[in-house]
Amino acid sequence: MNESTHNIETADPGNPAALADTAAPGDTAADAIADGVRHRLDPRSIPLQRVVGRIVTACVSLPLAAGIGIAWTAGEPPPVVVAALVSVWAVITGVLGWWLHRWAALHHRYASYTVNAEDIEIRSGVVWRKAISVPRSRVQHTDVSQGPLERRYGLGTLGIYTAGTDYAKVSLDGLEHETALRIRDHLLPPAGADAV
Amino acid sequence: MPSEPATSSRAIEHRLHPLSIGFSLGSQLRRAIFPLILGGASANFLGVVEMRSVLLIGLIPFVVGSVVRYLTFRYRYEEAELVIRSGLLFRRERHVPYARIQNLDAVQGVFHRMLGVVEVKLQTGGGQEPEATLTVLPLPALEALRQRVREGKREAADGTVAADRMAAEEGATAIPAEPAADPVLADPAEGRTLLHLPARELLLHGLLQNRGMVLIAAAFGLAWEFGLFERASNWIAGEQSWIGPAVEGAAADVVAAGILVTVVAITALVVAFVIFARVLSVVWTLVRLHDYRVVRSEEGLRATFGMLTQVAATIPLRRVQTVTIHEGPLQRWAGRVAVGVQTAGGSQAGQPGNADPHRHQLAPILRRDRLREFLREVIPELDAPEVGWEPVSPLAFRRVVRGTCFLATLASVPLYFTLGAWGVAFHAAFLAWAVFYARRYVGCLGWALKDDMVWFRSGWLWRRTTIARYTRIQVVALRTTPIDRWRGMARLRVDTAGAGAAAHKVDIPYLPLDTARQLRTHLAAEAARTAFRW
Repeated sequence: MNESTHNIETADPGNPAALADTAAPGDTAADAIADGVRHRLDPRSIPLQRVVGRIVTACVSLPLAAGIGIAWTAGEPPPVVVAALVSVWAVITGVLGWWLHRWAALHHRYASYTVNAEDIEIRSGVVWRKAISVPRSRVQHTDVSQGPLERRYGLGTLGIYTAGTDYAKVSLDGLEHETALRIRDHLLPPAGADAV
Repeated sequence: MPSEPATSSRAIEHRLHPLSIGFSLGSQLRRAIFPLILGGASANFLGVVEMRSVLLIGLIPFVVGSVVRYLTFRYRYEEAELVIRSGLLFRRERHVPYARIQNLDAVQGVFHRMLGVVEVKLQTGGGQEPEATLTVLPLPALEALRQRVREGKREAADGTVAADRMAAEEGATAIPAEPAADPVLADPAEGRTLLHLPARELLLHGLLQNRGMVLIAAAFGLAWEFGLFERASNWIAGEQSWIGPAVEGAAADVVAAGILVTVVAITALVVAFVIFARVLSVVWTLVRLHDYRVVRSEEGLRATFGMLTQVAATIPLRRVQTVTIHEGPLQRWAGRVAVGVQTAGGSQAGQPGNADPHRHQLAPILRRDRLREFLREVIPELDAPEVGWEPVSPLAFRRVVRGTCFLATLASVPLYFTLGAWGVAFHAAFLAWAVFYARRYVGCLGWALKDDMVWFRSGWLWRRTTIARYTRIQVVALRTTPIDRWRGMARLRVDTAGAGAAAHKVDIPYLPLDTARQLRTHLAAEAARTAFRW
């Protein structure tokens, strides 16, 4: 979990904008969250994603192992077949585990967000990258959720809902819970602006 | 709830038409009949009870439900809202403010018309389901309802509506609420007619539109469902049938007469089928879209049409999210276009049999030279006489042509095996077509920013142009694939409300990366500047 801090140089080469770390100096002003600077996600999202990756790996690997075990005891296959099955199982488990472990860091490297005065930009994706702009005036409602794992790491997921179709819900996970709440407060429409 | 003493006429509670029992029973049965028959058949099979008694017992709850629904359903007009009460055990009282009613759609099928009643659907801002469905009202009640809604809306909007429009409306509402002669559903307070399709245009539309194939497919599906095929095949190919042997004999004769005759016969069959499909399409169009009319009224655009099932659908102008112009090759040749709109929320009565309730075909067929004029009625902000289309990246052609050439090669591989040397000729022809098509396709891709709207055009033979106002933009997303990044391109998606899965969207591929970035920033800023109203 020590490689959680990545160099700024490894950021999306097409977007040479400087990336700030989420652990920005504690500004207490209400609107200081809208600083127009590209922020990385919280570095704790990497170990969180790795835990998720391990769970996924286990979910794939254990049933496979059980299947091989049953086949072994029930069918009494020749040892060569058993060895082949076990090595296939080991390769699948190893590759999947390794890949998901790496993926967490890759995902973190290419994900970022920028809170501007009038909109929020969310970038994500490693192979298929996307940059989504949601204008503040189009936010219907927002929510901040925290799963059990996220709670352990002090993280939260911000959900932004619009009236759009493909992007009716835009979510941003891997934020420090406190930051997620502050962005939510910033995005909330000013009181009395009834849109309907 | 009435807080002040309302006039007695306002407090009167109205009921639905007594025929409601029949109509609601009918619509429920249409949904429940298959499970019932299935249940009855299985019970019969198990020898428990006879199928007939299962059906009879199964019907009882529906009959009771329909009667109870009719007896408990009441609506009344309050100062500012329509109040609908229903339910026996679970009482429900809905308050629908007049000002929030967006659409008031009326549908009249054949039976409705014979009995002089109408089904009314009220739509408000949110959701896909109608806020309230009144099955069924007598025709004068529809008029009264319309009148109330119009008055209520005006009271709510008092002071905000321009004076001239008020004056125009006053003149219009002075007409007494009596059932109009023809068409029955037309609102007496109607405004200007924007579009009226005479039989000639509908005929042309039926010819250009390939509706016949859809109909044949639907008939095929129905026949399959009811096991008609088995019966038909027994009839044609059964032991005692004369049709099967006759057809077989004729086919054998044709084949025996040589390849030329066979080809001619097959061609004739295909041509006959195509003509049959088109004739079917024309008839279908003439019946379904009979007397198609779009009228600009206070509530927005009202489309009325139909010979057997009459439909009156309202599309409030401010609910229009995007406008799409469709042009097929045949339509272009005839100098016609079609205009459709996407709405948020919206009317389900707009397109019977349409899976996407947000899509409305506003003008099924329209003369090209009238397009601007018509669009301006739908989007008043539209001003530009001509749109200056911006092309996509100059590298786009190379990317597309690689794809199409690959497909052409893939398609001709089997031909090499079957035709030998002739495969080369086919391959060359396919490749030529691939290059030609790629050139045309990329040439037709275009975007423009004009009059505070983003325009996007795509498709060569079937060209579609979509217009989205900045005020309707929800989210702007820029996406890149690895190939995009390698070629310095990006794809820009402008998301709006109510864009169905099959709808043409503003989704511009192969943009130069810098252009795409600027566009994203620009459009997001423009959207952020304005407020979105449902």
